[in-house]
Amino acid sequence: MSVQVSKTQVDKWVHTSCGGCYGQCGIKAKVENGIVTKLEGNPETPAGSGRICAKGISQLMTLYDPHRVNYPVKRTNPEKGVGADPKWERISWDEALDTIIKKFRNMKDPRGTYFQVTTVQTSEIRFAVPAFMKAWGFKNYWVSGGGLWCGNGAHFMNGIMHAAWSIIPDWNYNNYTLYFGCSKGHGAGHAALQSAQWVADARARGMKAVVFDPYLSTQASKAHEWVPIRVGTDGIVVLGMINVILNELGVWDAHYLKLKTNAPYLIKPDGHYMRDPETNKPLLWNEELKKAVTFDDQNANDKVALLGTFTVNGVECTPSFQLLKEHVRKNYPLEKCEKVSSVSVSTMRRIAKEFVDNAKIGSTITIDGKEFPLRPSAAIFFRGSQGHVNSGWNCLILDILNQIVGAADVPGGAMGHGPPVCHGHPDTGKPETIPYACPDGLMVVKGWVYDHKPYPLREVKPPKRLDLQDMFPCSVYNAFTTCTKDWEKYMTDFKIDYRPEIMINFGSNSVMTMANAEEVTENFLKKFNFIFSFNIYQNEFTEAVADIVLPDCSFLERYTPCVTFPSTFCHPTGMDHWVWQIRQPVVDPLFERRDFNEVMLDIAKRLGVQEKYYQACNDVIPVRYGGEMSEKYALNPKDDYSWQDICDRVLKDRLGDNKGLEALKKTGLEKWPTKPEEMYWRWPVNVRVPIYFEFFIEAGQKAKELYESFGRPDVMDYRFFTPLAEWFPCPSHENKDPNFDLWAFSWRPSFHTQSSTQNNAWLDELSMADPFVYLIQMNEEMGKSKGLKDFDIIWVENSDGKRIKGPVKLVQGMHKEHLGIAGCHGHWAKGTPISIGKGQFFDDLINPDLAHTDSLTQGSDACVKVKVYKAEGREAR
Amino acid sequence: MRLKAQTKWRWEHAIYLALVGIGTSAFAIGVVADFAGVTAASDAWLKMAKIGMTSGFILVGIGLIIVLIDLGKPQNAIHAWKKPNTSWISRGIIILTLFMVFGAINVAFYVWPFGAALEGSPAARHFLQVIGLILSLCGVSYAGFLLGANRPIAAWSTPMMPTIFLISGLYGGTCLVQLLSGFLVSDAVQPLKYLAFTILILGILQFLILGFYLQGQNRVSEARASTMMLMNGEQSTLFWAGVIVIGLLLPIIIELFAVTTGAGAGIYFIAGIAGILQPIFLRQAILASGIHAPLRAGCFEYALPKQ
Amino acid sequence: MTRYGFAIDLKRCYGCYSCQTACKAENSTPKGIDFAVCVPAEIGTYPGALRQMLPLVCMQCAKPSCMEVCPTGATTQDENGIVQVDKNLCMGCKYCMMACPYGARQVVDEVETYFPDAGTTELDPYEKYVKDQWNSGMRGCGIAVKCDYCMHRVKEGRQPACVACCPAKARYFGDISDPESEISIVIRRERGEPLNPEFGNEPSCFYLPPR
Repeated sequence: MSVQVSKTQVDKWVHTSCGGCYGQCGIKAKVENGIVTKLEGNPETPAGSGRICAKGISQLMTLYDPHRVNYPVKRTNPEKGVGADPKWERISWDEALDTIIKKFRNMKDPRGTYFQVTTVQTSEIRFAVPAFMKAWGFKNYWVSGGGLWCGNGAHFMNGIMHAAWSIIPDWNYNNYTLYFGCSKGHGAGHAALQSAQWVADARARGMKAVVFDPYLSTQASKAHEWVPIRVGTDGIVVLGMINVILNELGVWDAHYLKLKTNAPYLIKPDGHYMRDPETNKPLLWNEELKKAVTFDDQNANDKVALLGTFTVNGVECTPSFQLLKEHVRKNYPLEKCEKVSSVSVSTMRRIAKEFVDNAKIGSTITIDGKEFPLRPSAAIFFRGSQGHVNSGWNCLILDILNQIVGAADVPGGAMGHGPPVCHGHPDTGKPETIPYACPDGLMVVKGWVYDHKPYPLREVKPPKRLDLQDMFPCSVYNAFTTCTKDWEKYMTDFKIDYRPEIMINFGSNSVMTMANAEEVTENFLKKFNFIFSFNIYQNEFTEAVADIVLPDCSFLERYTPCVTFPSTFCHPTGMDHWVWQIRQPVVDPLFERRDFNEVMLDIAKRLGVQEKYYQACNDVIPVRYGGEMSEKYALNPKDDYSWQDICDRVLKDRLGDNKGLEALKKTGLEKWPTKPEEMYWRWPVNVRVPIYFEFFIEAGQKAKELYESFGRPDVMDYRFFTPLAEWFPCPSHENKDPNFDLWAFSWRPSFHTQSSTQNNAWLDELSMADPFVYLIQMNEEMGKSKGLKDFDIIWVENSDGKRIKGPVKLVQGMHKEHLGIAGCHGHWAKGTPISIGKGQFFDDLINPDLAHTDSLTQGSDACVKVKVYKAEGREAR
Repeated sequence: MRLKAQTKWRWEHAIYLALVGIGTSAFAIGVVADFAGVTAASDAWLKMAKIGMTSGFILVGIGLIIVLIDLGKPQNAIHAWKKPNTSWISRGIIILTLFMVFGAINVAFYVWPFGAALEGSPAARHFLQVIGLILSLCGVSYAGFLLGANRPIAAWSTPMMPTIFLISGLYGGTCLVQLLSGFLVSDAVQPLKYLAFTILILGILQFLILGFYLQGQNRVSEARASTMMLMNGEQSTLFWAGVIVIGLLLPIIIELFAVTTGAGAGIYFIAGIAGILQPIFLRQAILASGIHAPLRAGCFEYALPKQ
Repeated sequence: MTRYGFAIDLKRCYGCYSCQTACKAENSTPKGIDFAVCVPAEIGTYPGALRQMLPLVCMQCAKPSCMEVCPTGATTQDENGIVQVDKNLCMGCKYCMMACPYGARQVVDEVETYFPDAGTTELDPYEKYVKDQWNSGMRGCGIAVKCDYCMHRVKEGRQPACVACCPAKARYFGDISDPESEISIVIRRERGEPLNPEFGNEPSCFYLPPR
């Protein structure tokens, strides 16, 4: 094997951004004699604050991994399927691109194109994906893992409630955090390195965390208390706690609820807002004036009612808060919550009280001369609580806890993350991303990751997409619920007049990240006539279905104009700096590797659609990076640009004339100080958020009418479209077969990124020595009752007879009724030999069908009832 | 938490330690036999003395070669003697080097090639032999001190360790001399009987000492783990079948039979082989069950990594 | 005289393995060798069980067992308390590995590739770099190597790699002989203790309580 060595032989440090996960930490890379020899944190940036994690450092091994894809290859074995041998044959770039262009030109209908991309290279998908979709004219795309490994319900809910992609506690001031199935601050890519530091600081000064999780996770082991809970029951526990707070303790932040939420909005008996007949604005009841006022009236103040019943225009109506209070009292008695969740009544009572006590309702703090409410309590969540049929509702319920005590985007509370409010660079005012109010006063995000915003909801219209994502009014980006044998029937029932033809895949390994591999491949991926894929490794996806694989650059070999906006997972909370970070090649691409964005632009040019491509770039930028493109730097559709030209223009437009690509390459970043009203924006920004989801009623009704008109009312559970917080059981909770006595769930180790890092030799070496990651964890008492010993090989089988096997590890840190398996392991692709057979492929137990889909958000259910029995053999350890 | 035994000193080391133990002991038995032979009527004792000294010398030499080959950097072994003030390896190397020197002199001038030189002057050779005897007794015990110096391995770091190694080495050495003499020396019934008595006594002592040793291994978790490993864990087959049944019970029964019935060389052969295996099995069992103390931080205990 | 030491705050450490990996990259350690190993453990019984990672480094003991047992004189201690191994003297007898209570000494027979299935005998450029680095200087195969608190970085005024990378800032490095240094203060205030003091090695690495 030979490698072209870079021309410069001088040692140098290159400042760029890490791509080991979606956290986008700033790093610097040392190049010695043309070889990258060191990766370290860049202390100049708040995104990572000079630190670096195991995944990041280990990328050295990925850059030079001899198993990488280095040349374009084509499939010579026409047979596709899980475990098929593609019999790759090396081809030239010209042949590869010619074939691709020919396939595009011969399409029956361009709408039959599908873009499937990875969540890991999150900044790389901002340009080529939407631009090519618009240029070629199709609407099908999917971010792999979107359902199973990422946060469908969480991002949806955070968008509505916090204008943000995620929430984390403000550890600068937080004293009490409730964790529901998430590891923020303990390795999760949510500002991973800064969060780790702050949560440690907070812990050191006495912050207490209580973790609800079926297993003793990293965060649970660092926490003050671990509360074992059955999977998927987070919502009902919190409804119980809300019941305690509202009806037993009688404590809430009335000032916040009255001014920053729709808690005082008057609700008619039909569930809808009582509206002002003239302006159509929702009405509130001012108790002092004894009359109804619109939500934006100057009398919509502290005197509005949260409780009671009032008659407005002859109709009896009730503030939504009163409805919520009654609802939880009637429908969520603590005994019921205990029965479902296994969390005791006394625990719920105690923790609910601790939560409100720590919120210190009424307290304030002055930061940089500005006074803010201080609410040092927060409830946060992620994968664990939202990987269920009740994904959307679990998340909304959890955040209502924050809303009740006013602990949202104020010092100490639950913070939208990355901070959604940015006033822009001092020189240019961009990116400017201040949320604004809809006509009903509720918050709408600005500066969002996708074109479709979480609120207002997607209009209910006949689905047009191959994956039927547009069938779900609240779906943010999941798309896999149609991987069933009757997909074709959905197509015909919904009169979709085109069929899948070409799939473009960027880095995704959907065979391993959607659900059980067989169904995904047979029922979905094999429907495409032609699939070409950008990859750094040949993985389960490429070997199963790809026709042409193009050698992609890794993040150390490519340009990306911005990785820290839209601010999702990289900015710290609290006062620090905004940072605009770029990604740049540390070494020239090795072998024949080429960057994805560059190649997609090339394909657009060869197809002759570059004008639309450039125009689409111009359209994308304002949504992603807040603020229109100036005329000076907007792409002129008639011109010809390289990918680096585009990067340069984006940078100059956002940061100023003298901050183009060449300038940014020197430092890798541009930063400017944050303001307290950006970080703690909840009160400065004049918007409200819902605790009563009136808009669900209409969405549900319309959906029902629509799907009835197609003769398919069965596609959704319309009960989910209710305005008041409700917990719905998962299919696993309703499986009462005593043979299936355990819940299996998957968890994410902090030193792996989804399915992308298992072939990393260093991370594999760590994992081999780790006592949990490659093993199936089971409660020791339960294991012994089944006659199992450590490292016995066991079968784990679901009620469809699908089974996986692996060595068991009996532990104390596991709920008795549960079985924990690290997700995305157990690879089998020949292209990633290090990862083969290490750990288990949990997703094989998961069904990609509507029964396991959240009707609200299209989130996928990832918990499953299983039985366990001994297989042959033991693992030697 | 599961404590794991060290895996860095393996069977090569066990064989080396056993060969040193058996070899130095055989030499010592040889010296004793030579003293006995001077006044004895039969020259069987003197023949036995030569067999003991020669075989012991050769065995120690082989042992040293084995351990040398196993070193990470054998070329640096020339520095191994440099730290006798603190290191038991240095002490051992010095003892064994001196032993080899005096052993070589003894063998060369008493057995081959200059065998005649000391044949006629018992006083001179006894002088050299006594030095060799002292060195061999140091050599047979040294491995016990070598292991005993490892404080974190409780199963090794015990005053019993040199005694165990001493008795086991002498036992194996005696068995070796008995085995070889049974074949090579005619008319050695009486001396062989003495050896059989010696083996019986050493064997019974070994039983007792192992009992005392295991009984004492209960103070700390790593010692208990080592004992469990020997008694009913990973090393239990080696310990029970190898050390106890083959290594001790079998020879003891045979020797008992031999002492009471006066059976011949054939039976000593079985006893001899089994008895020579005992030091090897025992050392391997002890090495393979050497467990480092867990690391303690706060209320947590950790098994030492990379074992 | 400076005596370099570590303080590792177990309360802050959440077990991410970053130190172990950063050390591997910084010191170009081959497969199987990690100077900054992390050891996970679980104690207690359900539901009161606890898990805590223990990140290790060489303890640079004031009374190093490894130096005591070293027969060749390869192991020495410099004026700053750093225990060093002389590649030209060490014979690889592994006695130090037995005697060290902390598992700080390690040895490999040869630099093995991480990619035995790569289908090529030639190492990739990075692995070749690692192998060259490993075999140059005072490290190498067949000898009992160890952590030296990244003295090459410390001499340049930088922190050891495991300290610099630690996301949780759980590690302190400095002069423990100076009672006013940050590390001495933190050890004193947080009641830092060495691991297993019963062996009498007087380590320079202190652990702050996990809870």
